[in-house]
Amino acid sequence: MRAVLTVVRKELTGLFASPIAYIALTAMALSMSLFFLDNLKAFNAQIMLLQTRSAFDQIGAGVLPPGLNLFEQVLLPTVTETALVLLAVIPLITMGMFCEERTRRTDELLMTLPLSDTQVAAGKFLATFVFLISVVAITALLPAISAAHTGLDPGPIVASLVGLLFLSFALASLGLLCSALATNQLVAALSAYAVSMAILDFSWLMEFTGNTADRVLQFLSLMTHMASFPRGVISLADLVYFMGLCLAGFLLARVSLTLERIH
Amino acid sequence: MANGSVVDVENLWKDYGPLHALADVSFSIGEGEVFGLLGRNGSGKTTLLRILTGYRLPTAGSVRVAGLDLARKSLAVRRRIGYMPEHPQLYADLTVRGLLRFIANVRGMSRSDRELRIDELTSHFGLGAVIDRLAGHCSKGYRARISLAAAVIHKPTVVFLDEPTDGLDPEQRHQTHELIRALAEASTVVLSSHDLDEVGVLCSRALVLDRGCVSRLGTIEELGGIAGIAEIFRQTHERDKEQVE
Repeated sequence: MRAVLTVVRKELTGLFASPIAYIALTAMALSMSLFFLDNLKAFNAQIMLLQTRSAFDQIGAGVLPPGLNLFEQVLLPTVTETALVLLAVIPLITMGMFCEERTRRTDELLMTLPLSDTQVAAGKFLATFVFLISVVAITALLPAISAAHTGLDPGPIVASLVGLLFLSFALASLGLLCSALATNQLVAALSAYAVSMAILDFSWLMEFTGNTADRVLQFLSLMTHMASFPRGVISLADLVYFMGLCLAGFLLARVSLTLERIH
Repeated sequence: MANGSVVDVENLWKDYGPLHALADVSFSIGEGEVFGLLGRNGSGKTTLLRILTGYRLPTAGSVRVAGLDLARKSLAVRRRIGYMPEHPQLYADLTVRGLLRFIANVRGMSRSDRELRIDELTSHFGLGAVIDRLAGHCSKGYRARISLAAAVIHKPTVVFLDEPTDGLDPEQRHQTHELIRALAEASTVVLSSHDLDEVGVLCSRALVLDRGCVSRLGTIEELGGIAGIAEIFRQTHERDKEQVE
């Protein structure tokens, strides 16, 4: 375990020494804040409009129409939009994790140290996950402040952040796998984008498939498993799905390291 | 393990597709030897070192280092060896001290042993001026010394050096030779080089590789000294030239 933690520390040093880390953190903080404020503003405008109409018509005062609530008007779109930003940012973070070792030829040093391929892969995956915790934590600032000052139920906010965290872990695992397989960083980033976009939402494919395939495709879509978090529901099935993606990415990346030794 | 040998290589093969990078290579290296791996570019020296250090797996054959089978006990072997790759590339985002600490930690050294050893190596390898600089940004000569220090931080049984003086100026080469001599007092050294003078000066025995096969094996005297080895090189060069024509 000590060896893995040593690799984690080295990778984090590398991540925080690169400008990409700060670009990612800034992009996430800015985009989450803008989306949150924008959605909140739109929600407030609708409420104001409704109140004016209610006062004028003298009917239905104090009753919000279905669908007009903070979760569906603010949290759900904010989480969806932030998920898209994560999708854009994460391949930039993961593209160099394995690939850069090969292009800079530092892999020869790393792979001849007394570290198993599992330890090397685990160190790199854990370091990326730790970094992503800081990325998601920074996005939590504004919703947390809003919740503290407005009496907003913190449950759905916490659940949304847990959802974003697991989504980012899954996207990062795919990105790390692409980095382990690719010959250069650009290919790693582009293939990570392609894979992430492909599994983000399979609804476009459902037009051509039958009922059974639809259910399978819906289950495989990332966004299907993000839907319940903004409602404050942390479902075990969703967590298992995200952890399954992480495990698959990790195991395949580890196998690619061993194949590299054989090659 | 052959009597007194630290490295035993038997019938080693490495194929890259249809190309035999190594073909039926067998030899042993005794304890405390400075052993030279000689050959022209592309003869298989680096491939052989990469297999001996566990970086690459062989297609066939067996390797034992310090009495341990490399295929079965790869991690245990890697704990006992040190390796300086050809054109050492170091992490650009770690300082020299950070790099040495990272390697010492991976090798399971305690904090006090680690700091003591880093101080010792800093003074021995003359790294004082760069110890807190980013390792990847140091000059070629310093990078060679840092890489050598990293290879021996845990006092390994066997040290593998791949072209340790390649690209260095005469003064830096001389300094590196002195460091290798000092290293040989405590460890077995396997040195890959295409510089005959270097091998003649530093090594007691040598293996000459030609197109992945063992061409000659013996003491420097048995190989006819530097002049004898140079003649072997000339003959292989002539043969290759004739075949191209």
